Amino acid sequence: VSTSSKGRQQQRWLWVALGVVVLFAAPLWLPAAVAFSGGTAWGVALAAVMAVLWLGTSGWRAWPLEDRRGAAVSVAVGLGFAIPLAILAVGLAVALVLAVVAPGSGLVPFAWRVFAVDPGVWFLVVVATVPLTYALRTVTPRAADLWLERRGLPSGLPPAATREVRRLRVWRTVPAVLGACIALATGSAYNLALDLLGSADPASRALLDVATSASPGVFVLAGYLLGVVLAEVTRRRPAGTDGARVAGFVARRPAGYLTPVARAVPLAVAALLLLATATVVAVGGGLDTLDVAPTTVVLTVLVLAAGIPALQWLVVRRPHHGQDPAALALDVTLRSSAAHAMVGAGAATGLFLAAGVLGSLWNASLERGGGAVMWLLALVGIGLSVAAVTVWLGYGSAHRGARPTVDVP
Amino acid sequence: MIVRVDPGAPEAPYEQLRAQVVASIAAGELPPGTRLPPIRQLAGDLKLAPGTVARAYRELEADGLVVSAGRRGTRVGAPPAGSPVPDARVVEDR
Repeated sequence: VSTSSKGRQQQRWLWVALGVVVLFAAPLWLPAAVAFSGGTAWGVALAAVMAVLWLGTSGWRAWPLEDRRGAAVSVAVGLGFAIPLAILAVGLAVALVLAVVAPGSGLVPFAWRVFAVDPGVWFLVVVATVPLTYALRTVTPRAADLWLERRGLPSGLPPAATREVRRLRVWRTVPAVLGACIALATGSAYNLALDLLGSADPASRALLDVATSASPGVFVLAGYLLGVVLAEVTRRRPAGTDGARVAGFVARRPAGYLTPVARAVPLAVAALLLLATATVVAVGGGLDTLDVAPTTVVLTVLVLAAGIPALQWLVVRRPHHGQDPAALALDVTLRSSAAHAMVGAGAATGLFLAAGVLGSLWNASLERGGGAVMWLLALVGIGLSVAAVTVWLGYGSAHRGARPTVDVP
Repeated sequence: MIVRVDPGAPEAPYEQLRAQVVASIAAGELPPGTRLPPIRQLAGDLKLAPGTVARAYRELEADGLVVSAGRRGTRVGAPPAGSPVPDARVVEDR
């Protein structure tokens, strides 16, 4: 492929990326009366931002052309499946909600409401289908080789690398998508039930209030983190041969698998979250100012300061045996990748929550008439959200720049 | 460095482990100050009882080849002046 041809391909893909952004951001400018405007549009815009950031962090432009085409086709196929599935899922959701919340009221008169009241339901299946289709696509030997090459691993491991790359994709996608589905389904059911019940039955709404109290992003990130841990716990380790037991003679510590920055990030985010909370409480005049439950902040800080390091320790210290140097090197790299992915998920959760905490002050500022402080808070909140997505995708896609220092023969 | 333990060999597993560490120290693969893997980690990797690895470490410490610092782990010690590191063969013959 000549240089000019490469340049044209890159230009083409840039235009495609720009088109996707415009397509997804279009609902933002629709009139408020149109169902697609409103909060859902912001969700879609966030998804578009994530897609653009993913394009930047995944090194997508360096992929072989056939892999890029395969990825684009898989997303297109996923979208094609998503729309009919969305119609089916919405029908089922409406039937279930009406059967529980308003039995005997009849399905047909209310069926349209879920589309009009909460178009977010449409995105339930779209959000679920596209990443799943993308994660489950075939890993070609060429893609596996590229994956190995990027991590400085020797080639010659296609079957093992193909299996592990596929496991990595599936385990980091399926639980996160399930988290998104749970978040969106509870939110949609809440909106529908609220529309049907109004304020007549606060007891019935209490359960839904609890279910929807956490941010959707927290559901997604919790699912992602769970998937990373489960993938490591269930991964088959390289085995020795001829009955002998073989192992590397080296002390394995998280410092050998993580960059210094990656080790510092969770603690820094925990400190930032505490600082943001203390600032809001001090400026707002008490805990009542917080829209985020103080318990959630404390739990997140604990997870960042103690939970993530403990999980990394667990991953690093799991048995590491075998005598095939290439298989051992792959095992080390996968551990390092998991440890970094935990940093990404944990830090993203903390940053999203910090944005939510500052949002409390933004709301209070809005009630007082806004002003420059409100705009500053809005900018900081957006910055924190973008940072959260960046750190999640950046650390989750692979371990970046970190060569494990563990002794691999 | 890779260590290998053969359950079918006539030597006890702790002796096999000790001999390999001694050989590596003698060859300079494990310079003074190198931290040895924690007992539980190595026992898990080699599917041995922690007591087996602990015994090998104790023997190495008794030979003056490693220094245990409690919870801070075990490190390869500095060789005493005038006393060369015993080679693996000599240790195996003891």
